Amino acid sequence: MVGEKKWLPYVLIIPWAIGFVIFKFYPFINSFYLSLFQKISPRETVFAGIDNYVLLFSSNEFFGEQFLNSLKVTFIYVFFTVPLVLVVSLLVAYILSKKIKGVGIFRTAFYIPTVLGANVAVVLLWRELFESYGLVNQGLQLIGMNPVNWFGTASGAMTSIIAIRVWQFGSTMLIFLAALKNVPDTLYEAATIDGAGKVRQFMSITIPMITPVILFNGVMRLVETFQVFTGPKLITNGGPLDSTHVINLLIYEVAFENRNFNLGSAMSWVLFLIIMVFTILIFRSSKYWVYYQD
Amino acid sequence: MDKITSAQRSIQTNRAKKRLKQFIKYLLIITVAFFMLYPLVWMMGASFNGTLMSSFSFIPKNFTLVGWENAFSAPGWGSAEGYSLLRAIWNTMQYVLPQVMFMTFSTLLLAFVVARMHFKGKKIVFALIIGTLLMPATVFRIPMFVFWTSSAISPIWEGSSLPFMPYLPLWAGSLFAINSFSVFMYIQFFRSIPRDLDEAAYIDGANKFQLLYYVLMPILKPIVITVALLIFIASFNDYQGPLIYRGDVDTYPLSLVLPMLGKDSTNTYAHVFTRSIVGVSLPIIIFFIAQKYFVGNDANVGIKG
Repeated sequence: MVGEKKWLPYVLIIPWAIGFVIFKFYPFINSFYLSLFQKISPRETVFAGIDNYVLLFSSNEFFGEQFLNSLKVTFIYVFFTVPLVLVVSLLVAYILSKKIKGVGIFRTAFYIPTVLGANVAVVLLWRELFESYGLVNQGLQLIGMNPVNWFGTASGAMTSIIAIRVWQFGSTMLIFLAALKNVPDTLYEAATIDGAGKVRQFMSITIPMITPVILFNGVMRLVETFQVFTGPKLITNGGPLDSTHVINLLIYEVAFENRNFNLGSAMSWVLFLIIMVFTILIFRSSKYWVYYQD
Repeated sequence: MDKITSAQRSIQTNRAKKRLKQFIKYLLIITVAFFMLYPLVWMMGASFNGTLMSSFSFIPKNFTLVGWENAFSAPGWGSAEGYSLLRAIWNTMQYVLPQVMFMTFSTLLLAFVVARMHFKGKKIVFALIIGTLLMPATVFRIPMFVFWTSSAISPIWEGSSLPFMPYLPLWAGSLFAINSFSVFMYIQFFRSIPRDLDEAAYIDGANKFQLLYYVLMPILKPIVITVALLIFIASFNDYQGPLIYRGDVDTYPLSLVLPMLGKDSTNTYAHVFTRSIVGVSLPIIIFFIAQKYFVGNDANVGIKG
């Protein structure tokens, strides 16, 4: 380009570069640095090498036991939530992608919980819904089932915090919907002529064609759900008996309530490594199941 | 009477089958919609319900306006307990507004530079943006808290009496385009706009900024509104951020005020749920205003003109 100013792009990215160093690079390094020290008094820390990490994985220590439990609980949460969100949002998106009257109204209806679901007011509503005389148990009794003591049992409490996340499948659904519309109609027409039924078409055309989007949605939801906080904090507060005491809640308590930044940093680094390992494994596996057209 | 041929009969059964399929489809989608929206409808009804027990029906058994009167009547929508919903909303806005304003445009500019300009190191910049997209926010949180509460930095914001400033740690990053997801969304959108437009604008003598403002902005409008809306929702609903950087009680935003005001001897369901509805009304209103531009709502957003 004639007269193009070579320096312009560099000037324009300066704010981002500064921000990147302050808000990403520095805290990332410092987080690891902090994790190598141990707190010995309110104002003093000493270098401890990997002692914090050893502590987190020794089940006979208090923090180790807490941490291993939080890992287990977080894994349970993630392994139910992510597939459920993906399946529900894909099925709803599939129905909405077909010719259907009032599609706009349904799309809005399904997106509203996503707009509000993380809001504290709705999280508090959720707690009321799952109370012993709450809406959920009233509904169960209407259809002749026994009420459940949601917050009294480990599985009940876990169900309530998984349910509020699955309820917010809206943004995943919208991304699937956009992808479904990009699957060429000619593929379905050809399959219909060949005598393939709707289920067969869904499994052999729809799913393979949108695998890149399944990968994207899956990874995004995985990273997000590993860091769940508001639900377990406000609905169950980690209980009963730490059965919903997820890792991010434990990090919050250790770092911000007990002011132990060092142990908290070690925990967040373990969380970071776990998320990274899962992400890498999923991307590595993608060449076996993700289909790219080009 | 005419005899029905076998062809006609098969057409009829086919139609019946089709109708059944349609019926099942609508039944399924309406059932899902019911489960999605009923809790919110029920909350609406519960805000008018004077009884202590809740029921499955959303129609209040004992109609009362006490919750709504209480929420709006006291000065500043406050109450004897010393909270004020109006103040809580303003406190929330003090970090939501800067966040939406700055982040929407700083990330747009960064995406424009990365998507439409040529410079050395562009690939590294792009890799760093994508790399941080998947980084868990948890890993940055503790060192950032140490940074903001350090003796050199904390006087700038902690306990500041200026508007917006007490919430600086929550929105400062928006000045520096650090939301990788917004940048990523913009870059994807830029890629769908043909470069011919750029070329045409350059031939007409436009510079980079004129290109962005006059030529690309009209096309970018839906994605700009979408990003702004998503930032608004995320920031408005944020709980952990305000919890960590909280100051005095009168600086509490909605997300910290609402959990303090549970059901007790003076507060019935009606009180609690009225406040909850006030708490979620803003994102709902903004969502419905911005909805027609929302990118996801028209998956085939193309380039017009």
